[in-house]
Amino acid sequence: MKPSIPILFGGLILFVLKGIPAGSAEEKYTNRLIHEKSPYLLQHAHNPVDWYPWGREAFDKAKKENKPIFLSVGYSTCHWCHVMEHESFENPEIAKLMNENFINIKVDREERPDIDQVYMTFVQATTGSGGWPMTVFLTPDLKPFFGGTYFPPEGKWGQPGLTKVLNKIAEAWKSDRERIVASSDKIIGQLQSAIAISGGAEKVSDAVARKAYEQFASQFDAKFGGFGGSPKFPRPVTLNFLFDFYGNDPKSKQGKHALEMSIFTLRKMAEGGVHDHIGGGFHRYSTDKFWHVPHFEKMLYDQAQLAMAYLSAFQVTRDPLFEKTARDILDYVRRDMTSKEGGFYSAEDADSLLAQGKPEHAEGAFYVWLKDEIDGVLGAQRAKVFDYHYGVEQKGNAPEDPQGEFKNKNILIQRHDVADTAKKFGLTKEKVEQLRDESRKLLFDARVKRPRPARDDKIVTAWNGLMISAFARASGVLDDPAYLQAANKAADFVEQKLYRADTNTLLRSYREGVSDVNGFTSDYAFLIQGLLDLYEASSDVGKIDLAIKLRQREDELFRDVKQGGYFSTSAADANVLLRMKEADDTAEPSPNSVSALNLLRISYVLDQDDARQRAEETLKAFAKQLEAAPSSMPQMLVALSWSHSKPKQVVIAGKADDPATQAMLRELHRRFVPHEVLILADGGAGQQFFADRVEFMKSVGKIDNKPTAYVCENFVCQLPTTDLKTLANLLTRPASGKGPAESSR
Amino acid sequence: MKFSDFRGKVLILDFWATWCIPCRVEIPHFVELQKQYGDEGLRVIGVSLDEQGPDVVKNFVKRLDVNYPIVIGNEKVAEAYGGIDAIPTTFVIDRQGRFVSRQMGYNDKETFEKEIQSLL
Repeated sequence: MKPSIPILFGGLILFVLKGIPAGSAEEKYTNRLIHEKSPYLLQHAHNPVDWYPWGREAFDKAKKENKPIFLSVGYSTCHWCHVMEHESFENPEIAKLMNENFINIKVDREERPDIDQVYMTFVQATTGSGGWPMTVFLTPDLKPFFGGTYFPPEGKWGQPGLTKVLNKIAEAWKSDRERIVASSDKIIGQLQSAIAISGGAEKVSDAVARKAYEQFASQFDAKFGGFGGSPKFPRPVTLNFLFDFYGNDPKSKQGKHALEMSIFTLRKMAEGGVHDHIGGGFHRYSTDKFWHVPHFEKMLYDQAQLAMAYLSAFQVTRDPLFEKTARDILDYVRRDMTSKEGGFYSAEDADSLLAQGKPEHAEGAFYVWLKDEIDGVLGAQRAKVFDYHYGVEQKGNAPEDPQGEFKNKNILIQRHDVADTAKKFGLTKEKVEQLRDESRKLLFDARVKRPRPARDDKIVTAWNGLMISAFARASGVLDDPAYLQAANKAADFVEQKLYRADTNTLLRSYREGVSDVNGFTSDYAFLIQGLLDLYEASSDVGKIDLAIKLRQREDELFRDVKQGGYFSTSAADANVLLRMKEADDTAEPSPNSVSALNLLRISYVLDQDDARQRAEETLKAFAKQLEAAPSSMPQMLVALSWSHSKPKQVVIAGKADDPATQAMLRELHRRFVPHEVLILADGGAGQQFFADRVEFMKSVGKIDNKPTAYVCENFVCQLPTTDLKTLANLLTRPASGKGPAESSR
Repeated sequence: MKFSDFRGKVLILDFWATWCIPCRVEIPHFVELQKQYGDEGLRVIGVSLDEQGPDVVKNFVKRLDVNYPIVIGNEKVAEAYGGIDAIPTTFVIDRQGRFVSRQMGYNDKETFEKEIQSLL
């Protein structure tokens, strides 16, 4: 579901005039959304539209009054959702039309991805495209009969106006209800049978990864990095795949090229305007092919996945730029996106007020600069260097500005690198770096005084899982215990607030208390992944223990017993009409891809054949799409590559707090090893946990009373070693096995 | 136990350890081969490279119902066989005491079966 509204319409609309809800007691209208927890729903609580949240009260009323349902789905950082709200839902006349003829329901797709998925499938099937805000008309029994995305209040841009659509549908519902109900029955039936068709096959061929690589290579922009033209999305799942593809065959031409594509893309993104050079972290995506003018919202799931991509880039290249970029993302999340209790918030909006206390606001207002502002903050000497380095111009630096939105405004982009800048001003590189860092700090302090964009501060289990992975991996790769602490704190928060131990279930989100929405497959899959990463970083078996329990529950709730793979939703909620499986890896990876990889990792850590089997079933369930369009499932290809390879199983026998053990663990964490599982045999409770489950963990121990590494790979186990150098060799050299064909006969 | 004790037999000499999963998967195959071909002159010998003491090995062997002798090896033994740096490493030796093959890594039962059939 890539094409969201901003792409459909392109460009930015700045200066959308809208009063930011003041939340005062004098509000003219207040509807039921005032009792909700989602910041997005709360934003609509003072609309004249009589909104209901998704739930029985609304359904009962629709049935009782025999009215159709007007369903509007969006999320808090969605620009066009705000536009439609301002134009239509704040308009008393349109609201009257809606209130008289419809039961109106608002849904935050981040809270209820299941509802979003069902009706988005309908909208895409009937209109050929989809995006947000999504607008769908339903019968009282929740079957959709007409839908679209953004509607202007009156017809424009070839779009019918909302007023007209509301009138027509209200009329048709009165005069032609039977036919509408019949057609909604029919289309739901058709969608159900379309979904039921198996996309599975007995085997997935090895060739699909190569095919995906070729597809990415053909879309690669060798000049500016990234894939395709504008708009350009960061697509961390694609970068993951390319790193893995490289790792499988680092010496081959294709392997090297895959690495080049991902490294170059990450470099150009780090230089670009999509990167917040002052506050750290990345904006959602670039509207142009230069990575220059972004849509300014910042999403947690992007920060998590991009941090991991930069960590991989650092592992492979040791280029400090990548370490720095990973740290700047993580430090932004710690500073601005972490709750006191340690959970991670969802997003920051693109729009913000131009000045405190005034209603005018604009997209990116918090992030863009007049040259004079910069020069004033930095002083002439520093500004000269800074402006050259970051391409700051008197008349503004946006590459295109057809609507005059960026008049005189600068979106920082690294135009000249440090060496170039040093040469230009006859300075040393160190001096330029020092000036740059000072300047950033000064601008940061100046920017803090601006009105901040709204923050969506709900804590979503799935995205916290991704962020836990990022912090856990960072703590190992960068050898930084502060990141481990962030990961642990978030994991503790999720376990305490979003997990019910008595029923072994997850909840979807938390904000001023836990939501009553149960977790979806993505919540289980991403959190399990986070826990597996956190175990490897912390050696705390409690994390593996919880991961295994959740894996069990994920199977019970979501597994497609007949055709393999996992449904997005459990069968428990009868009001969700379609049970679907997510396949595509998009801005977020598909929970099926992540689950397949989780299962493989669990199977290697705990020697569980059934986990391996479930992983294979999941891969096979998507075989047809993998064959037909492998580049649509890059994260699934990473799982496939694990299943086709023989991962390194590394057991370190030693006490966790022994410096020699830690030296061995560092040796493991710092390296890019594409397929590896790590277990610590601590001779105590941690080892006992494994010994109770896995035979061989009973007999692993230190040799000569020194921490000892056991490395097995490709059906061969190397003799244990207590020597760091030998361990390093074992980790880097290609597999020494296998196959009867390689015996020395 | 000396090597010469087995002169005239076909030998499978298996270097393994309890912590090695692929080794553990092979062992039941050797148990079956010993059962099937013992009368015809096959002897399987396991050399464990475990360093955690004989009890670990004894318990393990008992659980798997191993029906052939297991000895605890050490670096010297490994050296004598050309140095073992990864396991499983398995030698097949004919009735005249000549080394017929050396294989590193897991192999299935059929691979060993074919090889010893041609020697028995």
